[in-house]
Amino acid sequence: MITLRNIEKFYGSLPVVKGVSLEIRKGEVVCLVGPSGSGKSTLLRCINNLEALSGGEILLEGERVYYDWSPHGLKRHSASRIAQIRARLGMVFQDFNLFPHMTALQNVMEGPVQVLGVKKDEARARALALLQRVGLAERSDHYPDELSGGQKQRVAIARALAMKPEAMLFDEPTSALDPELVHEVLSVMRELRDDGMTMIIATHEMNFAREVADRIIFLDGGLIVEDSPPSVFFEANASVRKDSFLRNLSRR
Amino acid sequence: MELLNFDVVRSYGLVLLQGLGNTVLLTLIVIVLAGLLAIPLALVRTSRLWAVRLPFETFVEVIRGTPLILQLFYVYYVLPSAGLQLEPFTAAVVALTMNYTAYLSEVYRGGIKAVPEGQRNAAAALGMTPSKAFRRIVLPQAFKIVTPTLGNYFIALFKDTALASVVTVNELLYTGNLVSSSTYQYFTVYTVTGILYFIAGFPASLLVRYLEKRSQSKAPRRRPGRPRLVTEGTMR
Repeated sequence: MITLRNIEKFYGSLPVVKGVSLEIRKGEVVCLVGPSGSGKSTLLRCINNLEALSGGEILLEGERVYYDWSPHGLKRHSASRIAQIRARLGMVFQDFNLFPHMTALQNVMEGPVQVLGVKKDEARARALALLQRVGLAERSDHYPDELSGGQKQRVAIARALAMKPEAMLFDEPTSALDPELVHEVLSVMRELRDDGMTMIIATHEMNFAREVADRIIFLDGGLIVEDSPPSVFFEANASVRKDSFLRNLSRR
Repeated sequence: MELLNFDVVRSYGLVLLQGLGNTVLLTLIVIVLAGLLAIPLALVRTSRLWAVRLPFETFVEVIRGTPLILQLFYVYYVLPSAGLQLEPFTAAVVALTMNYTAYLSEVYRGGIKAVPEGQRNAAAALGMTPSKAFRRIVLPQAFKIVTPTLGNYFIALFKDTALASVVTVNELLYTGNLVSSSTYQYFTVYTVTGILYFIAGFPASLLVRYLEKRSQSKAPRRRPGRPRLVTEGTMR
């Protein structure tokens, strides 16, 4: 459903993603893991074009998105065309990025009303149902300031789900949370997996990845080092680099 | 020094109040116009294209680098020779609006920059176009950030309108000048004039201080009438 072909990303002359190809099927849960600076966040942000590509191509349901090829290189689509594609992909950020001037409910309603043109009453009903689903119905009138980190992230998930996305991208969704709040976000994501949502998750939560992922993709230095199901990933000594990465994580 | 001459106050009080009315009117018109025009000006000044920015940057720097009173003279006395003859009040609106638009665009620019990049990312990820993200997400937050600063400019403008007296706008100071030079009661007339400025300006200044305080406190604003959560233990 999502195809990445030879994705490259440079910051100036510094390569961060060096030619990554990846096929994600519908309903699949893929965890991107790897040390800091391995390019997993950047790769994720390339998928909804928050990072402009330096090279390669992305296909969504077989259709090339964001860029046209020309003899001079990549030609970026218009802002509105890119926005239409982004609306089909939900994204959850490490530091939540809730809109502080809106209540939880308004945050969840904003996308459907402003982007999809859903009527307010309908959007409100749907938003309330989504907040209920993430266990925050009674917090719907609260501003982000008044919520804990775990609650903010659950509202952010509801906000992304309100767009009825075809897939969800998670950019280290628990990295900014206090340890005791991590589980409430992970349990919401677990439920999403059970509902068959396609998910790509950049994460450091190895136990969670082992539990929910269909595939674990280990990135290092902007390249895919390993792409395997959890059972294989946590068993085999595929590389020295991965072993040291896993050892470092478990030591924390 | 004589005491206030109440005969003069009685005879000319109403005229001075009318002057105050014009001062307030001029202030309100200019703050609305400049407050709105400064937003697009702030935006074009963030353009990546050097050639787009240049004329607007030049405008802002010229305005900031010359006295307001000269700008008033220019609009009122020089533009007619270019075929543009403006009424005094209109000329004052034009000159003050130009001046305040330049300064306020700087204020807005700072406010827009202060909205975290993550907010734009979140809006983009929802599928908003950049213009919609600006209107719905960035501008409301930027506006909140700059509210206290806008308030201070508002008060400064209220007093700067007195400069319009030099191009014969019958606002408060101009009226005071007329009354005092025809009655020779300088002490009475200018004291009353000052009191009138203060009566209108002081509440505005208190309001700005309140807004400043509110924007600094981290406590979220609760909407009145919203039911608070029932504290644990009160329910059986």
